Amino acid sequence: KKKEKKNAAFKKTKLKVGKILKKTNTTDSTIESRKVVLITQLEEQSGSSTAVYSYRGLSLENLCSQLGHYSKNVRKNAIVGAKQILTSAPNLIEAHLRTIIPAFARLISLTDTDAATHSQLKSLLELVCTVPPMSMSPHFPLFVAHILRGLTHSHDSVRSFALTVIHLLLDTYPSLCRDSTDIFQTIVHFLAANRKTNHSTRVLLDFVASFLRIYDEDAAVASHCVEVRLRAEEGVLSHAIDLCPPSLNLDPFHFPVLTTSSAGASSSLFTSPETLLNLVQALSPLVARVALENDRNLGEHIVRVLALMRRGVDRQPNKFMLADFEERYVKACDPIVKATKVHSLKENKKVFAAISELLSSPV
Amino acid sequence: SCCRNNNLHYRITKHRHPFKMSVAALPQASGKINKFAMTERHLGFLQEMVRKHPESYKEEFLEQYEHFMQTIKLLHLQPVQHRMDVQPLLDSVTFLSGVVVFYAAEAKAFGDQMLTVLREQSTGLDPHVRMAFCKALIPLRNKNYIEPLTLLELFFELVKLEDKHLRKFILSSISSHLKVICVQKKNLKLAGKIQNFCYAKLKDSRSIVVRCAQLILIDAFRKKYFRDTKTANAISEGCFHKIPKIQVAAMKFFIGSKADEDGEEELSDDEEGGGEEEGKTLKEVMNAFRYAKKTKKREKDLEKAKKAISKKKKAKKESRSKECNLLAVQSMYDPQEFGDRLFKMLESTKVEKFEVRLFRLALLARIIGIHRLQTLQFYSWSTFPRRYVQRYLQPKQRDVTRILLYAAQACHELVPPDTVENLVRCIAYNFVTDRNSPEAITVGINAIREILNNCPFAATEELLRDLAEYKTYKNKNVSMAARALITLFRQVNPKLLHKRDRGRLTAEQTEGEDREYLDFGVPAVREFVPGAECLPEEREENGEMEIDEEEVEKSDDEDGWVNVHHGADVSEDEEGEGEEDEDEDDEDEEGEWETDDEEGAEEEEDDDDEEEDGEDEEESGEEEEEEEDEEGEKKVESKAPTQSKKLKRRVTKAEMKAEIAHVPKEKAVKVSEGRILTQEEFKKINQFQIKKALVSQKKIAREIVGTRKRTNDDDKLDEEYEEKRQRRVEGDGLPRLRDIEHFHKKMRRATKEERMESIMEGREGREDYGKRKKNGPHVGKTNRENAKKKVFSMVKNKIRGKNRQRSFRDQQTSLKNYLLRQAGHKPGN
Repeated sequence: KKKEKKNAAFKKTKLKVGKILKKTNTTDSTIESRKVVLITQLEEQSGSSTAVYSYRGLSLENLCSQLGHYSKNVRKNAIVGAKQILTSAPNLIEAHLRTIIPAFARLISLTDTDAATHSQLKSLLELVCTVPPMSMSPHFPLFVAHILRGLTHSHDSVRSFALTVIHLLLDTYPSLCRDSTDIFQTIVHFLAANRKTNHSTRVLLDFVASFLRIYDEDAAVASHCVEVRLRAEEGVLSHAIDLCPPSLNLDPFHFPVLTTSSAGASSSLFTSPETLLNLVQALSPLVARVALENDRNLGEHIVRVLALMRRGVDRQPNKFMLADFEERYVKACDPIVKATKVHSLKENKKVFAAISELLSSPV
Repeated sequence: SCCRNNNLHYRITKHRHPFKMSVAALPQASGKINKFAMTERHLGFLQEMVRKHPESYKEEFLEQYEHFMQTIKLLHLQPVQHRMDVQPLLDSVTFLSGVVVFYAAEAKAFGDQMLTVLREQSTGLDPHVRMAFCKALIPLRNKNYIEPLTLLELFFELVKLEDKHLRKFILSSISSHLKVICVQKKNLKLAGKIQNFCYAKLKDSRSIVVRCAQLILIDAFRKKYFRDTKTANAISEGCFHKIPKIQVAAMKFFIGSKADEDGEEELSDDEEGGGEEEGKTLKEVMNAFRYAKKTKKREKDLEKAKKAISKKKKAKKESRSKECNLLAVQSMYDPQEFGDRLFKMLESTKVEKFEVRLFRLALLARIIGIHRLQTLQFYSWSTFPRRYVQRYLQPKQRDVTRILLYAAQACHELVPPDTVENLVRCIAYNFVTDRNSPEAITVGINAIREILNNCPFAATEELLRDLAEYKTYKNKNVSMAARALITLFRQVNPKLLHKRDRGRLTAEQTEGEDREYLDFGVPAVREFVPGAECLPEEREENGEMEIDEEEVEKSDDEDGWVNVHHGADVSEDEEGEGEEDEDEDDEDEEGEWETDDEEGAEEEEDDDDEEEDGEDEEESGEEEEEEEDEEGEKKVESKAPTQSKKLKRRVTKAEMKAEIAHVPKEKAVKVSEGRILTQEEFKKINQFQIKKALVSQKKIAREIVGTRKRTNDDDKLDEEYEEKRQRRVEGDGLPRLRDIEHFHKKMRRATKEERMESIMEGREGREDYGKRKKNGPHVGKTNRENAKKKVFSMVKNKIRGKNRQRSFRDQQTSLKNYLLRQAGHKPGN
């Protein structure tokens, strides 16, 4: 027995067939205990709590990619889903504007969209437009470019819908719209070309009114005047000129770039009298036509538009720059003048008064 | 709204042409469809209409145009468009580009907008949109709404993008523009501007721009738009660009096609194959097929014709590049400097691909060969033992035949003989040894032959005689190569050969006409126009002139001693035959030479010389007699042999030679000194020279070599030599790979696998044997089934029973048989 003990270290283990020897150089990690106690619950990952899914379990990214789907129905469902997500979590809109705007705005100029989808899309865009102008401003040019592209589209329905959307923008972001040259030019062009849309005249007039109104506000006209005296012999100014006066109500990062296309383009109603004339020329056939129709319901609208036009003319400060301004103004108003000679118009006193107000000498 | 509609309609109809009015009038009736219904969906249709009457469709055009402008604005903000929006954009671009040229102001703005977008957003745009814009710009440029150079600049900007199709398009469009400018409009000022622009772009830092400019210039040079020395030299700078691909393109331009280098001639077999479809274009052939009944044979013919036409086109292209690369090499400003720079690059130890190095070697060799440069290190570079010989002039070396070819091309008359001698020796040591394979020996001997052909003064007697020994080598390729070398030296410098190999001197040799150089660096100065002796001394009438010529020859030919030697000849001839048995030509040849060698060893040099000569003369004498019997009239032929005979007869050869050559030479001198030759006279001289060459060839053909008759191989060698001599005069006169890799006998048989492969290749596209697969409309149906589908009136007369008028007798018998059968009798009695 003693001998056996002595030889224990050198004993050769007998291998049985099918049995695997334990390895000597590994650590055995099996646990033997009665129960496992968890100190804290497994934490959820931080991101998942904020993610919002639509009823169908799609995230906003998914929906945005589905908005580009070839199938009409998939697109429609995606619009509904997006609307649902954004209503449930309005804070998402502002954070995701960068992806939302191109995805949504692209849909405006699709030709195969039906009326129901259009209305869904419209309410979706209305939702997007709840964002404050400050956060909208970086994405605004892209948004506008999409809409204006729709406005020049050859399809009626697309054009009409684009008009609705731009109307929405004019109402929601007047200050941003005012800074965009493209909007002014394209809309004047649109009105001048007399392009047909599905909208009634009344909607059109409303649109024109709100278009004119954005240039009507005081902020638009507010020009910063500084009086400086230059003493020629000394070559010194009386006092320093502050080219960027601190504005009270505007945000400090607001530097409107008035021209995006070509250098000499007119940006808005108030940059030059030329643009004013263009506008009047574009509007007068429309106004004249509506006035001739002599619809009771439209009377109010047309008076409003006429008043706005008049105010625009009054506020234009640089009329003196054009020598023949008066002449051209009358020429631009020619369709309206013709309309006044029709007998039926004279009965509608309010409208007639507004027109005569407009036609009275601007200078 | 109604009022507005009226208003609209009024505006439309105001100035419309009648057709348009009818289009516009329709919607009024149907109410809801407006006037744009037709056009807004069919841009193609609208395009047609606008083309016909641009003024009246301006409104529709403007609608599309404004939409496009808005899209451009969008593209500035967001160049990447959704894939669904791409197609409409492409459509509108194609529409506008087709139509916009009718409206000048819009065209300008349209072009400018696209230019700016392409410039600013080139990377972001969808490749298709980018391509469409580029394509749309082309018609605008053609109508001069855009400056050609502005567009060219833009194109060179766009080339930087990684867009293969766009690059291809740009290159092709520039090429076609050049064609218009240079060929159709001949606007050389603009062409020059573009040329200078391309030169400037060759120095750009971006390699892709350089490559693009290079490709344009090469293409323009090949197509003759810019075929001048300036372009060639601008391209030549590309050989030293840091990017190997540009180097290779430039070098390839100068080297030309590989087929040319290999010396293959594609045109010849093509001309045979073309046959009937010679004059037809592909379009004609296709049209003829389209309107003819389609049969299998016609289909096959069409395929054949197509193949032939494409082949022809390819060959045409090839030949064009062939002529132009020589021109390009010749028009280099400073070939010596260029060659030195190239050699420096070759010498540099920079690691580069073997192919590139080979190209460089090829170009260098070609330039040296064509311009006769003195780049002496080149020869030692490839032979100098420590550095490159181990690698380059070894039979195991990759593409060694090409390297040998380049060595041969680089050798010209003005290379010092000792330099070339080293080169030749090196090749001989490495290739022409018994331990090498026969192929290696053949290639080596061929290369040496080509080198020595270019610089004959580099040959040494000892080396040449060693090489000549290979004419008895058991492999036919080797022996033929050696014999070709001997044939060459018989013409060029027979003195170096062993006496038995020398053959007989030809007339030209005695006159020394065909030699350009008498010794190294000693050009043969001619005192007269060769062949001028055919003209009369004084200008006379044509008829007399010829008579005069013949008279001269006749007087020359007075030789009564031809017969005398005939007798002596026979005895010696018998001796020769007694020594050897003559079973086969080849063996005979070998045997003879062996014995000759032994003789040479035994006897002294001089004796041997005389004996050999004697043998030769006698044979020729025999030959001569036969000739005279056959063609007594043609005295001209006999002139040359007579001369050579005389030459060998005398001990002092040189004196004799002078005397013989004296008469015609003197006359030639007189003729060419006495007056200015006219064009007609030159023509006559040419004819005379050709005639003389033919005669001497014929004479050689009849000649007996040694004691045996001429074999086909001898003819072949002579023909080849003649051909080679012709080729040296025309083109660049450089040897070709075919000369180096010339194997008279096929190298080896193809294995069974290879044969089967080629058989299978031949079977490709052929129908299998056996039953043809049928798939016509009536296949697999019986006539009865088919009849069921026919109109009744067609088959009415074929109804069974009605169409058979049985005779009364037939009816009777069949009735009888029937009744009998019914009664239980057996039928058929």
